[in-house]
Amino acid sequence: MKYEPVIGLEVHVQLKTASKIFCSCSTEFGREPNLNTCPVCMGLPGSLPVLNRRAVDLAISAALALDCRISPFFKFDRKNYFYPDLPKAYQISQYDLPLATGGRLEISANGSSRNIDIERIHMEEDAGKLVHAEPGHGVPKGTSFVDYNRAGTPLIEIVSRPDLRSPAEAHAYLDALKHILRYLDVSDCNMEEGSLRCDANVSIRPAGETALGTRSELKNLNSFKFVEKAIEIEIERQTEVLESGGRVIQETRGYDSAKNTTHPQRSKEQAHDYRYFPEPDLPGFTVTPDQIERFRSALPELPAARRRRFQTKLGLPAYDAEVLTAESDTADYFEKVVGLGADPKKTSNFIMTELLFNLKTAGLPAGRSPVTPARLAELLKLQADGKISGKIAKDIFPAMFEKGVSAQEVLKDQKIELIADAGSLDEPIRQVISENPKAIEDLRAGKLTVLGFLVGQVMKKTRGQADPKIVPQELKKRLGI
Amino acid sequence: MSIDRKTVEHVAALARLGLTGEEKTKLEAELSGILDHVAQLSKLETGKVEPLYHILPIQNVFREDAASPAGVRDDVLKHAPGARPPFFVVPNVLDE
Amino acid sequence: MSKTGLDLSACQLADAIRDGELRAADVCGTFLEHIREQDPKLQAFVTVLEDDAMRQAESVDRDHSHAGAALLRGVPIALKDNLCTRGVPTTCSSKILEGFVPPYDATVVARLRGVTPFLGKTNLDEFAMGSSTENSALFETRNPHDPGCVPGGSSGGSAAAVASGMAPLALGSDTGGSIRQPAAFCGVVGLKPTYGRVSRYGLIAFASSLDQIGPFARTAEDAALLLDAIAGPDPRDATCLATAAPSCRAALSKPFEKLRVGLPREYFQEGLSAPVAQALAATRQSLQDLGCSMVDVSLPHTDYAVPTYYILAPAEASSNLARYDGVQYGLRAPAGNLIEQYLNTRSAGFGREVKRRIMLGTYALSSGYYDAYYLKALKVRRLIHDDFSKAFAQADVLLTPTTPTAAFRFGEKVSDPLQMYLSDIFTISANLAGLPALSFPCGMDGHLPIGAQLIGPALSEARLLRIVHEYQKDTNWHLRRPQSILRSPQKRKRTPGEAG
Ligand SMILES: [Mg+2]
Ligand SMILES: [Zn+2]
Repeated sequence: MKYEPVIGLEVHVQLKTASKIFCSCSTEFGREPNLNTCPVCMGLPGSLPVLNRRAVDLAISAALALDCRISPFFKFDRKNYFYPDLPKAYQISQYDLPLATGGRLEISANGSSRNIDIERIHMEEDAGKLVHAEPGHGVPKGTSFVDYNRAGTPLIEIVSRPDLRSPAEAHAYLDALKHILRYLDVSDCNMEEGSLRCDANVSIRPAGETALGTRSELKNLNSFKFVEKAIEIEIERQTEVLESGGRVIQETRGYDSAKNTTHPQRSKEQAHDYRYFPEPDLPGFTVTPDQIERFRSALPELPAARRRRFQTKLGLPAYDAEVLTAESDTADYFEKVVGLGADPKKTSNFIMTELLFNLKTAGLPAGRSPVTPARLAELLKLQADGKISGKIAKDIFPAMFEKGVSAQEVLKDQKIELIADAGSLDEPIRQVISENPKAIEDLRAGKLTVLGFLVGQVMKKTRGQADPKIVPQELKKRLGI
Repeated sequence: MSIDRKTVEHVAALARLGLTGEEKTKLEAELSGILDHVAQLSKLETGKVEPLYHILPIQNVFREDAASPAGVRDDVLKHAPGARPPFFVVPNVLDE
Repeated sequence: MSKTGLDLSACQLADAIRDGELRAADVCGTFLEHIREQDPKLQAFVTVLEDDAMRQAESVDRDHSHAGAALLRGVPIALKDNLCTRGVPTTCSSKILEGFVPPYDATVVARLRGVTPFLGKTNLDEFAMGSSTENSALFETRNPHDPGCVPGGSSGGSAAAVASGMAPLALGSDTGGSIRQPAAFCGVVGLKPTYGRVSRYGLIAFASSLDQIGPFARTAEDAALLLDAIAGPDPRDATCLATAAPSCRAALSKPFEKLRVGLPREYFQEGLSAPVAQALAATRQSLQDLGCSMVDVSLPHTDYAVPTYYILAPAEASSNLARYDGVQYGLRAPAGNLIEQYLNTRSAGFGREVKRRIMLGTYALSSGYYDAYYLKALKVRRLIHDDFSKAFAQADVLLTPTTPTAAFRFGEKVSDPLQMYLSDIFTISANLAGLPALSFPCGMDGHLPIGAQLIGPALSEARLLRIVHEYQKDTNWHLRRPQSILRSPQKRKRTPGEAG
């Protein structure tokens, strides 16, 4: 029997705020354990939460960018369960009246793109972190250390409809989500630092069937690649279960990346009964249509729209548009250079081949490139005017990048002469013509293959400073062909 | 509304309350009595009544996003049972 | 009586200290001495802060720069032990908070720190759950008027401290009557402010949507003084109103308006003891003598207040008290693994009433029962709230008894939780509706005080206090001192047949 996978993702994204969602503790990553804590996020008796305005603003921007409907009224609820990483033994989350519902995200996988429906986006606080200690030094086996630095970090949980049909689509969904959220500067979406976390709900059903099969929930997915692999292996596992006449049971499963297997996880709660009820410590929240419109108009152009504009208005190939819009920093850089008069395609080529490589090596975003858009525009103009060759442009770029100086300065430094005009090629071309009578004869006879050889000779005479695009034309002009 | 022992045990497990047999027996009777009294609420017709989520006529209470250290960590850890600063410590989470 | 203050009102003390007639340290010392004498008999205090209080009083005497800024300067105060005080154990009269020392002050405590010396922390029913202070895991507090009777609860320690003159002022908290009922039983003024008038930050939560901190005092004027010092916006409490609270004490000197006093008929039916009914009738006459007119009003959903409360309050409590699990503070019972730690700690740390309410609340929120209980209760809460809105179209304030009877005896109700719950029948509605309500002494049942309650529309604290202030000019119920304990320096055994 042929089975169709049905996949839904629950993605927790950390909002980029300075302070936590309900208290003034810093959200800075990597601080000393428990340093970013206060009575509120440690759940000390008597403490009370007050909502961080910026967290809501960021969440609304994200929801609008994902085409969601913002609830005119939303509230918070308590989700009650016991676990040592949860200081109050309840998580302040949203239950029946979340921030936003019903959006969509355009993904592109296998060369085609389609929309994945988003069910809801709600806000909540993160839990702390348990570190399972090594036994010894008086620490009994199984002891855990608790660090509440992360407790109270603002999150949005983005829940997709079970619309994804393959592990690759799940990966593409995460890519697209990450692009948008980073574009908005809503989140770093850094899986290593835990600012993006993903759970996957996976089930399979006979192809053509419309009812949903029993799903399992995959947890511990630490990278986009592991999300893809875990879903893949889980689909295989469920297929085997069904084909051997068994039944899939609803459960939480962890993914072991070393063994590439999924295994059942004991649940946090013996019985899943979270006893949600409205958070009495926080009055409700309203958003007016006017406010929503203001948020909407403040949104930056999103990756998909920008990609389309780069293709239609600037004539870039789809591939270039995709690469340049992957990060808003890169796209902004590109637009600045083009805005200074550079040719879009030439700029795109240079960014994709030279700039991105250097940035990646240096670990910098385009926004902090030592070669500013103005300097790249200047370099490209020198090349376009024929004052330096493309090769020279490429050769001097690393020095510009490394020293943070202009093209002119590098040229001066390396004593590279500017090619003033085509006239300066007169002498080298004259010499090459007189030194290579046989080749000239062949060329005149129509043997165009020797042209490359002659151009090479001219380049040699000019120590590479001539523009290899101009040399053939000048050669032919001199020979009258 | 009468509460049976199984319900008492289920609710106690949800609330993480260890109860003795005697406590369970007492609670069966006491909770049943209280819930009998509470049952008079069901006589009231409330089909068209909006639940009152908050008694206050206020909404949209925020704080601004500014970080400042509270500086209470060491004080809290000093009084925390079994702590090994800078960590809190709990036993055997995995063996739950 | 010496001029060190035991017989002076808080306002008189404040004036004398401001004018240099009394030193704050002498006043504080006098009250501490009185506590040393009386408290072994009454057991109102969980912690007496002898040294702290004296230090604070001395610093008041040294530093006159704040003179005038805080009207309460130098007047000592007792704090209910569910208010977090930095560096001082805060117990909620529960074993589970053993070893808990808050690293921060509740907002109300922070506002008083440096102004009013803190005499100590007072006893309460564990986590403020109860009406007699018998549920304290530490010890019972006695009613100063009769050591065989309860002081009421849950703020029994604060009420007893003020009634016995061990403190001129005290703070309590009121979730279903926990200030007003003990105020009535002990013969003092107790005010529960409008929900949102006083910050709850640092008040250890029982039921968050109902809890409110308020003053105990002997006179309405003293209560006004203390309320003024603690009320007003607090950025740490999202449920605290952002509008500044106008001064109640200033309102007391304004001309007395002749008000329409509503008498909700549901509060004057069966179950009311004869002495309470008579005292209320007399109070009504006194208010008429002051020029007030009486109006009959109805609060038709009154019978549903107790059942609504006993869904909502335990539900919120079950969640608020989930954090006591032995991980970060308080008691941790020995255990081999985490689940055992939870079960053992919570089993050893919580008393019977607290367990009962956690069970009730957990049940009401659990899967399949939410709609029938919690959601239903939220709807009835609206009906109760709307009853009051309608009544306040006809009347400016409502007059009711605070309790159906005077103080009951130890052990009388503690074994029957439902009977205990029903003793809050007149006080609970004001919490459900978020309204200000005040109890004041209005008569005696033998040697036991009787309290009358005024309930007003939201933010009408000044009006309630203004009425009682006027009433107290013409009556002297508030001046009655306990006969039994204060007059007898020795510990006294009750003899059978003695008036009870
Ligand atoms: Mg979540
Ligand atoms: Zn914090």
